[in-house]
Amino acid sequence: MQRMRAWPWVACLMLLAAPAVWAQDAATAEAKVPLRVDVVSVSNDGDVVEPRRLSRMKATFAKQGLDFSSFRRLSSERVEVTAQAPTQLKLPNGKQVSLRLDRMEKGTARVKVAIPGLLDETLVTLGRKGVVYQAAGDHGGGKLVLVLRPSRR
Amino acid sequence: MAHNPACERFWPELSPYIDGELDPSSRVQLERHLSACSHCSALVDDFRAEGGLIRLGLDMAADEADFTGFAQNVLARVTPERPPFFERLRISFDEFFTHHRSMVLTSVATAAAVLLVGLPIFLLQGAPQGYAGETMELQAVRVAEEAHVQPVVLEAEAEEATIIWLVDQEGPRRHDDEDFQHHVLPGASGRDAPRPKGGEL
Repeated sequence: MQRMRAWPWVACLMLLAAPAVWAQDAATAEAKVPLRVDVVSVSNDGDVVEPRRLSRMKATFAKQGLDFSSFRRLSSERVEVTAQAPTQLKLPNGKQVSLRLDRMEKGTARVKVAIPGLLDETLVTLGRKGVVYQAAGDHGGGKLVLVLRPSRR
Repeated sequence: MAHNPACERFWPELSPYIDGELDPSSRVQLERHLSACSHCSALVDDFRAEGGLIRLGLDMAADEADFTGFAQNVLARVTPERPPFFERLRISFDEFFTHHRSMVLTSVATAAAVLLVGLPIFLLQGAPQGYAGETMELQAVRVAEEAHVQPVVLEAEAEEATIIWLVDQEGPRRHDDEDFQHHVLPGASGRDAPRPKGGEL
């Protein structure tokens, strides 16, 4: 029985798959993904929840055993994350947050969050619901938390 | 003024003639007579003048009359009792659907087509680029070596929230292990991360 050579089939498969890979890369390269990024300071200094909507975050943290009495939102920004260049955010504790579009697959973006000196990378797949709280180091006797939320527009 | 006895035959026809109600043959005969009879011609002129005066008088009387609410008054007399609102609404709909059936069907079909085409477009536009997924999901965490911290991932499914907390690698615990519903992502920090011993929060 004559043995079939495999490489022509592999080549054909690669040729067929190439446009899909190229399209995915192109989609990632061109995409601008909006993201809402809040910076919240949590501590046990006082009993302030500002704005009031952070009471939900406080309750979520408390359920997970992270008991803090004070939650203050220091900033709230809508950023556009791209693959070409990272979006930089300066934190009040001097650290720098870097957000970059890592991959775009079937309309779903994956974003890479990095805080040099603290966090090499956090990979988050975006969705229309949910929230990701990322600890971002110490700040004024408490902690800073990066809140990543879906952007409506 | 003396007149021809033959004129009397034409007198009943004078008024219909002025009003244009005579048949063609009678009109031809009368006009032939009028061309020869000055008396009857004078009568025709008198009738026309009287008609004009009467019309003018009626117009003046009409100008002086107050027609405010005339239509409502007439309708009120025609339908002394107004039907209830829903009865009127039902009648209006019945009449509308009876007399404008094709227009109603066309409008409904057009609205359905617009909804079928437009709604998906609107919904797609509502979600910004990159948000095809349902919920935000954490894929991986890798902390910096020099930070000497370990990541603890806490999932609050009810709130659809993920907390990535960083605990010191060494240091006193603040919470018991049971206080945390946590897990550390395998391979975090570039190695098999042990169960965190906690630390200052």
